[in-house]
Amino acid sequence: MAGAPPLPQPSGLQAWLLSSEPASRWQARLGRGYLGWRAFTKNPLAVLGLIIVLLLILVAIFAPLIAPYSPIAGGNLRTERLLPPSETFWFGTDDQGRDIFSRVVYGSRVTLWVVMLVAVIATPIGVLIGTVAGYLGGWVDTVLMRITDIFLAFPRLILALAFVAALGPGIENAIIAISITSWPPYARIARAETLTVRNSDFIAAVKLQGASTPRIILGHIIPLCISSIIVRVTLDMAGIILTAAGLGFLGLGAQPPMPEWGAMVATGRNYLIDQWWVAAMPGLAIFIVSLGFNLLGDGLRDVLDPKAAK
Amino acid sequence: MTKPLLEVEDLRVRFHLRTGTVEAVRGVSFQLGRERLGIVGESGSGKSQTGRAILGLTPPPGEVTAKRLTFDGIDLLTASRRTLRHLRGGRISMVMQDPKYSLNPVMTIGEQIIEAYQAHAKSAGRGEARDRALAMLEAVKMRNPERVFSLYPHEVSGGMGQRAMIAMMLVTEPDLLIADEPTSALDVTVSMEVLRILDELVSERGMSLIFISHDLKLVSSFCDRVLVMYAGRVVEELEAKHLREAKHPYTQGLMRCLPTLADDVRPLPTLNRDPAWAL
Amino acid sequence: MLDIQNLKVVYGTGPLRVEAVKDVSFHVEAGASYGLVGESGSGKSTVLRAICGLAPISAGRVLVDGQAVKTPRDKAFYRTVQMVFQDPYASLHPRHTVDRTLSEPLAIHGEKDAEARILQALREVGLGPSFRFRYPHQLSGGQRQRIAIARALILRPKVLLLDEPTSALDASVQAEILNLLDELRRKMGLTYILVSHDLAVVAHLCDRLLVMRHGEGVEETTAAALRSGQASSSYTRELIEASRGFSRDAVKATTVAS
Repeated sequence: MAGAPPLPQPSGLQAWLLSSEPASRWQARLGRGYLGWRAFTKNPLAVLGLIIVLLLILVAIFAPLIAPYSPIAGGNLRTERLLPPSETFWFGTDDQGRDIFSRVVYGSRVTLWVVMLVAVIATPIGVLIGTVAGYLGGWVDTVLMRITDIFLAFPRLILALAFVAALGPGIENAIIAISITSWPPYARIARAETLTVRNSDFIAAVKLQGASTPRIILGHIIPLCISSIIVRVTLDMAGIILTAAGLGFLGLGAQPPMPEWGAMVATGRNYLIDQWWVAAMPGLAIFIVSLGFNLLGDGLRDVLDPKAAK
Repeated sequence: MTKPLLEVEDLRVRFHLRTGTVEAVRGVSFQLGRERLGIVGESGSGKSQTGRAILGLTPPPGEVTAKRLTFDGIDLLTASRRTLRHLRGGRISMVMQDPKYSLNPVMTIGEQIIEAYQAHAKSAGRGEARDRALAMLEAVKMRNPERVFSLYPHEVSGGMGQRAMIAMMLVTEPDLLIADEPTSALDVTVSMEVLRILDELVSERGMSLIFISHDLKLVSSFCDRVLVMYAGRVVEELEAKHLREAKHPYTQGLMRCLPTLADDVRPLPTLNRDPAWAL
Repeated sequence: MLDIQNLKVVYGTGPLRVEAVKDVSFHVEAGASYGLVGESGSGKSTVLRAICGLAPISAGRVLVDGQAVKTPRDKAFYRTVQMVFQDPYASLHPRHTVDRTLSEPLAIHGEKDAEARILQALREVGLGPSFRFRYPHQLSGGQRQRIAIARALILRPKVLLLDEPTSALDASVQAEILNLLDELRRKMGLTYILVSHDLAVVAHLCDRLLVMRHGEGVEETTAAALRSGQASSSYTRELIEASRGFSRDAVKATTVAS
């Protein structure tokens, strides 16, 4: 709209980022990223979520420096079993005399590993299937979507259980199992986004330049799906953590002595009444990290997809 | 001289956004009697926001201020919500651009007209409302009013939808009709049709009309007076028949830059936007 | 240069079958500018889409430079025929910078020298190099349309299909774009097919034109004839009359179907 009085000029880096005449590809991209960042940080809960997630990453990276004890070496079974939280053992010890705090810290690595791998495996599969189905339509769409429906029909944990039971217990197989069950919603979202843009003029324009289907899907359609997918993946992280914890709890995920949080809650089950900290501490960690991803996902959605926000 | 129906003095519409404050309307003043007033401007001139401010339909986060904004003596800025509701649709109506978006898609046309009527004639029974609705559909020259009465908006063409909208807005016999680009979404032959109907109805009922459009030629042939807006301000106010003698360079430029069948001017004179106009 | 023979375009089957174009024929010489005029539903935009392969050709032929077009169209076709779309807000990819939008056709056709050609393309449409890395939301409607024109011309096509290129623009911006299109056609010897509902715009840019209604050609005439108000079909006369603006004196029967 015309006629607004000029805003006070920002200085230096900010001015460079906000410039309406970017002089290079990178300036344009960074400028957009900066505007997104400003919108994101207006939401305090979203920032909290981001802090929690960053904390998880930092704790995982610096685990050896943070954890005072070894996560797997057992302590003195006579004197150090099931001790309550104290100055020496901040979260107490478990039934093997291991420091729970150190185990929770190292367990963050396992959690992060699971979450990252699942995101990296499931997301591309889901996005590719969804965009190809949406763009090509016809029988390709029907076949791919029916396959997606089949996977969606099963509750994630049950299907993951079935896969792990077939493949054998272990953290790697748990990751594969969770990935296989995570991609269908991404395919659905990607397909829905593809259908909305498929008939746009800008897609018609690039078709008229002779663009091949892979170029259109990879360069034009997927960038438009990214926002929704990022939001969905982030919100899913909480569920993935819980599924991994669930598998661990059932003994089908990480195997002892790996300090996976779900498995830790499982062992703590037996001591819940008198030594609550054995189960509660890892449980709290699961809760906080899931909450963090949820808040982050909500914040991202408000920024990336303003229509869905309110 | 009779008191003007609508008095607007120093109307300002501001939008307080995260990135700053945008002033869509910056001090518009005019008076309206029993006449037709055209408000012409391009996109961003603030003409639509002016129309909406009069009706109190400025979307949030908009803020409307004015030294005076009165309708028939009623102060629109301080009026209670009840008063405003009574005025809207009852004494001031608005016809908008695209009937696809302004008609309720899940109600039949007849039902919508009845609803509009009963909202302001509280004592009217359904029979009376129905009769009035059919009479209005006939007044807007629908060939088969009974049939159109039971059709849904998506089942009629654009021109018919707009005429239905006019019927709905005029069934309460308002004193003032604000038409915001009423024919921009229609084909040119259809819009001539709709405009003729509007012309007749406005004359017959002695209504005042504010016609908002980007089409200077159309507005000047339809209205008595024209306000030309640019960047939220009125840059020129003149009688429609004196359009050729427009003094402001923006108005002159706007008139000259359009291609016409009559002359073949090559290249078309373009508007040189003087930043002074926006001040 | 361009020959349309008895073109027919049908969408859908069964109860949803729509004959968007029933039978349209016309011929456009190289370097000429031909207009397709009509109201909504006349099929004029569909004819353009059928020419470039975005709509199916159910019957009839489309010949470019004497040769029938292949289905699907090949890269050689896209180097010869390009299109500018109506809505400047929808024809540019919202996540691509101007640079990406203009370099893509060059990349697809393996053209070198992208940097120089992009800058040249921007100059040709009257925009400076400062526009190169902007996103569409940082451009006005007129600027976006200029980018769309630059994109269409960057492969140096011979034929430009223009689908209501100025209907979504303000009057003052429309004049600039029309002047630009006029100038480019003369400078580059392009052949235009312009679709519009606005008779004045068509008379300004085109020499000959076809008036269309309900998927058929009603009358083929010239811009000169329009300007003098001559028309053999009553529908054309109606359009000419309507383009003169609102007039209280004209009293006529309605043609609006109920």
